[in-house]
Amino acid sequence: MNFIWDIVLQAEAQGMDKAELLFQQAKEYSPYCEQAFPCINQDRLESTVAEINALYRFSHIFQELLHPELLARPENRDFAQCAASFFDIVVHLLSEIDLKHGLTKREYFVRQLRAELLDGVYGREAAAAVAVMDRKLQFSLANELLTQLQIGTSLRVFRRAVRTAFTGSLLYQSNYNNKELLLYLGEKETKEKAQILQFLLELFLPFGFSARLFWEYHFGIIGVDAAMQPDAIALF
Amino acid sequence: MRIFDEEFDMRSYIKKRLLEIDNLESRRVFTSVVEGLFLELHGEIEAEYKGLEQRVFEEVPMPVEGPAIVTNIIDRRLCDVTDDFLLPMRPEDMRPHQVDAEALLTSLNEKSPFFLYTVFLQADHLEACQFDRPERNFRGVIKTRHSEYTAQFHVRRNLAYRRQIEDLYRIFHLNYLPWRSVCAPYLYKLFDVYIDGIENWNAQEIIEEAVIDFEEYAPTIRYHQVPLWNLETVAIRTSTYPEPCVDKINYEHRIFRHKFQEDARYLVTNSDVSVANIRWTKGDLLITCPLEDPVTWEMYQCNPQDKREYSNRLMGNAKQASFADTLMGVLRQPIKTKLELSRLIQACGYERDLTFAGVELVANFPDKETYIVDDFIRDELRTGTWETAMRLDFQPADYDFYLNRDIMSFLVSVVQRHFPEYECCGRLV
Repeated sequence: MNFIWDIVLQAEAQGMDKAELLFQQAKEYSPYCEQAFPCINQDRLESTVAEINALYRFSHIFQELLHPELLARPENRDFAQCAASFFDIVVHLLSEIDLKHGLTKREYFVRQLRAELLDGVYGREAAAAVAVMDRKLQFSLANELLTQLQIGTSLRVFRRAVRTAFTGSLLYQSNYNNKELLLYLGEKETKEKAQILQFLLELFLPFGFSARLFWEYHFGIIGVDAAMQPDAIALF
Repeated sequence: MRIFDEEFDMRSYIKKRLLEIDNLESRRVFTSVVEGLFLELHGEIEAEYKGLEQRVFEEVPMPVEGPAIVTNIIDRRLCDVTDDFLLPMRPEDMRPHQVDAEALLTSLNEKSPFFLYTVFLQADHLEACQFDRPERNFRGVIKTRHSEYTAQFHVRRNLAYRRQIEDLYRIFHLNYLPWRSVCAPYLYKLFDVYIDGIENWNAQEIIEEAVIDFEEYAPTIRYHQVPLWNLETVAIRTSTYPEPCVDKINYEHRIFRHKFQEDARYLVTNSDVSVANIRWTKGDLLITCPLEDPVTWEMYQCNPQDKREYSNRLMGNAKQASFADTLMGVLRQPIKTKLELSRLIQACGYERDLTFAGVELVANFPDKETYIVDDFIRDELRTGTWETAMRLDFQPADYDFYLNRDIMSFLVSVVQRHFPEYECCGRLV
C-alpha cells in the first residue's frame, strides 16, 4: 500500500467500509512516501485509523492546515478536533477522486451494460445470475460483453469469460467434432456456480457449439499424471 | 440504476464524524466550514461527473430508426371519431355498410361471387388458417323488407389492410428509413364474406341484412370491426418558395417546424414526385425534388404512444430502448448466442405474453405455427429454399390468448431479418 487509494482498496478487500476509515496526518513519516505505516511493506490494515503523509502529494492543499504553528496558537487551541476531522473528510474526498482515475468512455459503457444486465435487459434469469456474482466479476463480464458487441461472438471471448469466472477451468475442443467443447471447471458444483455457468454458456457460446461439463473431477488423460489420480477421474 | 453505485455517501459520513467532536466550539466551526463550503464543493464535483456521464452517452451515435406503428381494432359503434391517437386505417370504414343492389345483380348474373362485408375472426392463427380453407362454404339467410332468401357464402382473407402495411415499406424507403417489422395481428384475422348465390332471388329488392351461419366459428365472429392505426393522413404545403440546389436540377422545399405537431413523426408518402432527399434540420423538414413550385405534400403523421384505454389491446412494434440495443444497432455485429437473441426478442416488448424459451437449429420444421409478417419483402437475400430451420420456442403466459401465435409470428419475423440463412419458425411450448 503506497497511496490513499491503495489504502481504501485494501480496506474494501478486508471487508471494511470506507466510512470506517479515519485518516490522520502521521507524527512520524518519510517525506518520500504517502503512506506512513510503521512498516514500509505493510500489506494489511491493522486498525481503522490510517496514518498518512498528506504532504507528499497534496502539500499545496494541506500546508496551512497541517502547519505546526496553527494549533499551537492559543486562540486555536479549541479547534484541534475540528482540524483533524476536516483533514479526514478532505482526504476521503481526494481518495474518491483518485479512484475515478482511468475513467474512460469504455468504462462508462461497461458500467452501463452491467447495470442493464442487472436490470433484466437480457432477461430475468440472466439478471439473477449476474446478481449472484461479486462486483469484480460483474464488471469483467460486462467488459467481455462489450467486446462481443464490438467484434462479434467468438470462442476466444467465451474462453476468456469462462477463465475469468472460473479461474481453475480448462477448455478443450474435441478433435473429432470441433463444435464440441469439453469444459473442466475445477470447482465443486453449487447452485450459484451452475447459474453463472449457464449464463456464460448462453451469452458467450455461439449457436451450434455444445459444451460437456466436468465440475470437480477432470477426465483422465493418459500420460498426464495430474489427470490420472485414482478416485478423482471423471468418466468420458 | 446508477452506473456508479459504489459512490461514497459523503453527507452521512460527515454527520457521523461531526458527532465524534465533543468540543462544542470545534463542532460549531466544523459544521459551518463543512456544511457551508465543503459539501457544496463535493456536490459541484459530483454534478460535473454526472454531466460528463451524460455527455459520454449523448455522444454515442443513435441508429436511424423509423417511427413505431401501433395497430388496433375496434367496434365501429365504440369508435371515437375525435380520437387523435388511433385513426381508422380506411376512413370509409366509419360509414355503415350498404349493399349495392345493382352490382349484386350483375355479379349474380355473371355467377361471380359478390363481396358483402368484412368480418373479424377472434380466434387463434391456426383456427384462422382452417377458416380460410377455399372449399369451405357457409349457408345463410338474406333478409329484405318483404321476405327472406337462402344463400351460399364463402370467405377469403382480406388483404386490403395488409397492403396498406406493405405500402408503408415503400414509404419507409422513400423517407430513407430502414424497415421495421410491423406487429398488426388483427389484420391477419379479417375475412371478406362473398355471396356465391341466392336461391329464387327477386332482383328488385334491397338487402337489409345478411345472416350467415358460421357454424363452429359463429362464437368468434365479430361484425362492424374497424382496424385502427396511429397514422393520420395530413397534407402540408411547402412553406416558402423552393430554393434551387447546387446540382441545378433539384429544388429544396422547406416546411417550417410550426406546421408539425411537436412529438409526432412524419413520413412523406407522395408517390408522384421523384424525391432526391428528405432531411430534418432543427425541426424543419427539407425535401429535395425537381419541382420548382410549392407542392402540397401528402404525409403520414405518426402519433406518439398514448396511455389511452381501448377495448382491444394495442399492438405495436415500439422497441424498448436500451444501451445494449443502441450499441448493437451501431456496431452491427451478427447475433450468435442465445442471450443476445433473447435480448433482441425481449426488446420487442412482448415478454409478458411470451417468454423466449429456447432456440434450436433443425433440419426441417413441418406444421408451421407462425407466418412472416414481412412476407411482402421480395428483394431480400433469402432464396426461399433453406436447408436448415431455426426453431424458436416460446412459453405463453396465457395459453388461451388468441393472439399468442400472431405475436410469436411478429417476434419470429424480427429474428428472421437477422438470420437470412435460416428459415425461422416459432413454436409454443
